[in-house]
Amino acid sequence: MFEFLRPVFRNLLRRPSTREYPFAVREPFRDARGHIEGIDREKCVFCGICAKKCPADAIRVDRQERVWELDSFKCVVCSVCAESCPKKCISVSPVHRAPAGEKSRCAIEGAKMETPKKPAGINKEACVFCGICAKACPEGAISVDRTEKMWSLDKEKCAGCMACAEKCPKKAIIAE
Amino acid sequence: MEDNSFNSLIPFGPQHPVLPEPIQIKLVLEDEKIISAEPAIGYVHRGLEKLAEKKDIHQSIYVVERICGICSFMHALCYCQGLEELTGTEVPPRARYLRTIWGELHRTHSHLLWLGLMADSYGFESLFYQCWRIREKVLDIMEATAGSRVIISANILGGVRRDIGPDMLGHIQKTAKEIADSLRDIEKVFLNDYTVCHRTQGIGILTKEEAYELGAVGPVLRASGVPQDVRSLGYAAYGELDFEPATETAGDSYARTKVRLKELRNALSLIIQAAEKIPEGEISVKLARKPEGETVSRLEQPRGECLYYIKANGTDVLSRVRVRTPTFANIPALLKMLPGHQLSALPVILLSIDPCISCTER
Repeated sequence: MFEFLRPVFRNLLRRPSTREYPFAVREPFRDARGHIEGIDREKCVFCGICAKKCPADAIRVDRQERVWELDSFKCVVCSVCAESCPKKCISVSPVHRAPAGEKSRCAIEGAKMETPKKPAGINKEACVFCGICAKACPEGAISVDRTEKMWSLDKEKCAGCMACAEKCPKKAIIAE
Repeated sequence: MEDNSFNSLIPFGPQHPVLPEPIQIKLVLEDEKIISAEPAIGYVHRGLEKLAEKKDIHQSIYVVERICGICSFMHALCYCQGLEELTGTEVPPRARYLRTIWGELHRTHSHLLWLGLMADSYGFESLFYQCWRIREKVLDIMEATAGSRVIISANILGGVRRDIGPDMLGHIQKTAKEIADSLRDIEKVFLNDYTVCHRTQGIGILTKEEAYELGAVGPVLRASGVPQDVRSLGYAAYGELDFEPATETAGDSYARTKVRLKELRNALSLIIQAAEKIPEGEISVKLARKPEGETVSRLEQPRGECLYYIKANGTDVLSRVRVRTPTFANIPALLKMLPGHQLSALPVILLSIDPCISCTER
């Protein structure tokens, strides 16, 4: 009959379950996806893989102008960009983005550097056809045949991140 | 004067205090008694099936996940399982267990949410808050393990994105036991309280034959005595875990509450079992090849059986994704339950099928 009396009395004696927000704010969980903070402009090579993988089309990358732009109002904070980045230069904050009165974009201009590189071929004498570059390529643009000693690059797919050259144990990949 | 001149036509919804989402039910009433009901849907159609055909197969996971704000993980899982079947990809055992854990966490939070809304439908506000207080613990686990509270984006094609460490698995088991303890108090209220029983017992009866013929699914079907649960097929890690579909025979709103309470207990037990038995190893593999052909993928969502039809053409973009969600299958059953009841019983009957309108309309 009076089934709810027990929870009622217990709640009377217990501290409230809620916090006095906004005066008491919970610590964010370490691995929570709060919002995308931006990129490390020193590390980013503006390969555009993040923009290609983004399910919400929230990222725009201009390779020539070296500009990375995020529309935070389109972003669904899935953090696919951060995971697919070959340079791991996109940072995700565990804290949610503060409420905003108007729409704004997060645009980051990269540090000016020499003309962007792209892999052109391999040094056939150094290469051992181990296939590490093919595994490292985030776009699957490289194929290596160990038995035939063949290395080929799909230039259409290549984003120019140079992850292959970085991972190559023999430093056999030649840049353009 | 015509014969039916004393009948009145009342639009229930699309905005109504008891409805979390917009659905309209056009009611023909004789005084306060419901004679017939006709649903009108289409208020939250977002064209997500079409959008899933525009994005590539990996991006579409995040699209289908947004079909539902409660069982989002299950939508992504159903979609991924379909594509894994089409590409002949074998998912690593650890990923299957992690999917089971997250899936059951979703079931737990969805049922707790529903219990709260059900209490709210008969005006028991304080019981509503008790249920949602317990639910918060589940959401905290999801945020700590997957990164978000509800739309957790944990699935990828060929496995899951994140692993759960041994400490966290221990914490999940401990929390599941705590939730099972705190359920005891609210369970008694839902099952024994005089006013609650008065509002649910004998309300919205659906017989076993009707439930089967009208194609009801999930707890609505099981509360009418049909022990049908897609988890029995053994997808993810369910084949290796011990569980029985929860059934009742009365077929009224009370039986549906009871079935969901039993399922909550089952879900917590499955979480504990999966956390104990989880094997070591990889959490994801790459797809074996590009998807080609068509398939129907099924799984048990908190609201019932969900069905994905996927047609692939050997490229990264699918030709067709069609989703049949459980609420859509339960609407004919709802219309069968309503006639003969008082208008005041409508919120309880409507809530008893656990309607998810954004699922239904996609």
